[in-house]
Amino acid sequence: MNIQLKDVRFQYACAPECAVRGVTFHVQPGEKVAIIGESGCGKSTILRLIAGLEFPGKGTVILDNRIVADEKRFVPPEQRGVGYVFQDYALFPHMTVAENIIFGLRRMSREAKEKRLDTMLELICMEVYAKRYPHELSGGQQQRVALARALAPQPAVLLLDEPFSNLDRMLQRTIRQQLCQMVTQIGITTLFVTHDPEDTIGFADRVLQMTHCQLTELPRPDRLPRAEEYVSDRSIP
Amino acid sequence: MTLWRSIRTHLHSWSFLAFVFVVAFALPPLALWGRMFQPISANEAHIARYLLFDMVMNTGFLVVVVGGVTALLGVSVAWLMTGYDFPGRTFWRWALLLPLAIPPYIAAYTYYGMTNYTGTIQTTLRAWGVMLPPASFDMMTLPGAAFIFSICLFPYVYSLCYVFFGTRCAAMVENARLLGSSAGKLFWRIMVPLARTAIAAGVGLVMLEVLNDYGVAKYYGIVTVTSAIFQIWFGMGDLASAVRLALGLMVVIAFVMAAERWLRGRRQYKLTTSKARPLRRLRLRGVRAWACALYCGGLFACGFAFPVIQLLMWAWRTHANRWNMELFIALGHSLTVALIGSLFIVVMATVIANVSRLHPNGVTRWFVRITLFGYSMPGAVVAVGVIAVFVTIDAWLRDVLVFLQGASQPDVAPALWISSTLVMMMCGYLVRFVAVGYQAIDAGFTRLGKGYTEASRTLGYSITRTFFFVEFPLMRRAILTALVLCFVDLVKELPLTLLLQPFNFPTLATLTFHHVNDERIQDAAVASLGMIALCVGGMLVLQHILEKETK
Repeated sequence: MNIQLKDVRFQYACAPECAVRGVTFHVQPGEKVAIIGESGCGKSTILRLIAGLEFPGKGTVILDNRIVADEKRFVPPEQRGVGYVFQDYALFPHMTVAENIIFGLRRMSREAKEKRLDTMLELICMEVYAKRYPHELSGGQQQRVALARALAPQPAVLLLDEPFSNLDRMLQRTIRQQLCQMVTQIGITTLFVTHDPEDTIGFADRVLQMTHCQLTELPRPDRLPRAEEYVSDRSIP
Repeated sequence: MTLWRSIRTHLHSWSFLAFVFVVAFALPPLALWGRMFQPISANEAHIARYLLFDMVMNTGFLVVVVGGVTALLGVSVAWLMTGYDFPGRTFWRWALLLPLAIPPYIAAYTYYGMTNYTGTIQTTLRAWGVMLPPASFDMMTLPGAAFIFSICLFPYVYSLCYVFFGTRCAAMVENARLLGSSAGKLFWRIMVPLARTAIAAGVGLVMLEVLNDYGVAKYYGIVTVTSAIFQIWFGMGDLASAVRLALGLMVVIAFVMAAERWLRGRRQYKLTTSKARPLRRLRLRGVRAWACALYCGGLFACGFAFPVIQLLMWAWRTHANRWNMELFIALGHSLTVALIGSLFIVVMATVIANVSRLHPNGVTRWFVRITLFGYSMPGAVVAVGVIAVFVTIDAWLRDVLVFLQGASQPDVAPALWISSTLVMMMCGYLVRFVAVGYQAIDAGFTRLGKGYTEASRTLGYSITRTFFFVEFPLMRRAILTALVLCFVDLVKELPLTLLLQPFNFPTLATLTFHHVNDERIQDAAVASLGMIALCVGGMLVLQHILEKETK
C-alpha cells in the first residue's frame, strides 16, 4: 500500500501556529521511511493524520490510491486499515498479552485467531508470556507486544511513533534489529518517526527531516551525518 | 475544513444522542425564559412590597454566612488531616464526611426537637437543676438556619480541599518549611491561595445547596427566594410570578458563576509537575494533639452523632406506629426512583462526556456548559421549568389527537397525559443532577486519557465498540462513583420531589417532610433514619472505591 500526502496543513485547536504546514510526500509500497526532527516539531502529527486520529485542515491524504481525507471526506481510523504503534504502547491494561494481540482480529473463527496469535507470539519470541498482563512485562517486551498487536490484523501500512524512545540504549539496538527483520520479512509499508537519527541507520530506506513544520528529504541513512549535526537552527546560542 | 465535512465527521450515534440530551436539558430554562414575558399579575406589586426585601436579605445572609463558615471549617479540617497526625485522625478523616448523609431539613427539625423547651437538652438541664429561660437555644432564626447548613454542608469544602492538599502540595509545603515559614504563615500564604479553586468549588456547591433548600426555610419560617417560589405558586396560585422570580434567581446564579470564572482569569492553580506525592505529616503531641481531636470530634458530634442519636431515641419511641406499609412503600419508591434516575443520569453523562472528549470544540463546550447549568438551578426552579415543558407537550398531544380525530368532532378534553407522571419527575431529576454524574465520569475519562481509545480505533473498533470493550472496563470505578453520588443526591432531594411527584407517590423525603410539616417530628424519625442509612450505605461504597483507587 502506498501513502501519499498532498499539501497537508494542520493546526491544533489551542495552538497559535500550525503543527504541519503544506507537507507533501509519497511512500512507495513496501518502503521503510523515517521522519526525524526535534521534539514537538509535528512529526507525530503526520502519523496521526495518516491514521485518521486528527482531521487535516487542508490538503489530501491518500492510502492505497484511495483518498481518506480531503476537504470533502474523512474516513474514520477504524476503516483505514493501518497498524499504529504508539509511543507509550497503549497496551490495554485489563487484557493479557494474548487478548491484546487478538483484539484487532474480527470476523475470524476462533481457530484462525489462535493460529494468528501463535504466529505473532513466535514472531516476537514471547510464546511463554501469552497469559501475562502488560504491567508484568519489561519495556522491551511491552514494545514487542504493541508491535504484534498492530501487525496481527495484517495492515497494509505500519506507523511507528518513536518506537524506541522508552528503551535503554542496549535494548534499543536489539529491538531495532528485530523490528527491521520483522517488517522486512512481512514486506509492509512502514513509516516511523524518531528524534534520534541513529534509529534510522540500517532500518530506513529513506529519511525525511521535519523543520519549521515542513519536510525535506535527507541523503540515504548510511550516508547521514552524525547525530549532533542534526541539531537544527533552534540550537541554544 | 469545509463545514459539510466537519458535520459529517462529527455526526455519529454518540454525538446525535448527546445533542438530543443537551437540547432536552436546555428546554426547562428556555421554557422559563418564554414565560418571562407573560403579562404582570396583580400579585407582583404585593410581592415586591412585602416579600422581596426579606427574601433577598435572608437568602443573601444565609448564602454569605454559610459560605464563609463552611470555608473556614472545611479548609481547617482538611489542613489538619493533611499536615498533622493526632489521636483518631484515621477515623475523623472519614467520619467528618458523614454529615453529608443528613439532609439539612432533617437536621433542622432534629435540632429544634433537641433544643426546644421540652427537648432533650433543656429537659436534662432542668433535671440537673439548671433553669434556663424557655427561649434559650432558639433555633428557628436566621443564625439557627445558618448553623444547620454550615454543620451539614462543610464536608463539601473539606472533601475537595483534602484531595487537593493531599495530592498536590507536598513539594511546596516542604519548600516553605525549609524557607522558615511558620505553620500560620504556611497556611494563610501558601495553602489557602493554592487551594482557591478547590475552596471556590466547595463553597460554590454549598451555596447552591443553600439556594436549593426548601425544607429548612419552610420549617423555620424563614422567607428565602426558594420558599417564596413555593409560596407564590401554591399560596397565591400565581405560576407566572413564580417563574419570573425563578428566572431572576437563575440570572443571579449565572452572573456569579461567570464572575468567578472572570476573576480566576488565566490562573489555573495547577501544578507544573505530574509527580504529585502525599505530604509527610507532622506528629502533634500534648495539648495541641488533643485540641485537634476535640475540634474534629465536636464537628462530628454536631454534624452527625447528635442528630442521629436523637433520631434513634425518637424512632425507639415511635417505631411501633411508624414501622408500617406506608414506610415500606416510601422506601420502595425512594429506592426505585433513585436507582432508575441515577442509571439514566450515568448513561446520559457518559454520552456527553465521551463526545466532548472525542471532539473538543466550541459546540461540545456548550454541551458541557448546558449540562452543568442544571445543577446550579435550585430544584424549585428546575421543577417550574420542567412543568412548563410538560404542560406544553400535553397541549401539543391534545392538538395532535384533535387533528387525528378530525376537526368535526373535537371531543378530546385537555388532560395531563405525561404531566404529573413519574416520567416528569424523572426528567426533573435528570436536568438537575446530570452535572453530578458528569463530573465523576469526566474525571474518569480524563484519568484514562485518549491513548487506549486511539489504539482501539486504529485496530478497527468503532466508537461504540471501543467504549464497551476498552473504556467501560477501565472506567468501572468512575461510573460506579457517579452512580453512588447521584443515588445519594436523589434519595435526599426534597423540593423537586415535592413539586414533581405523581399523585400518591410518597418517598422517604416527602414522607419525612409531611410528618414534620404536621408537627409530628417524632413520627418522622424512622423515615429520616431510613434515608440516612441509604446515604451512609452509598458513602461506604464510595469510600471502598476510593480506597481501592489509591492502592
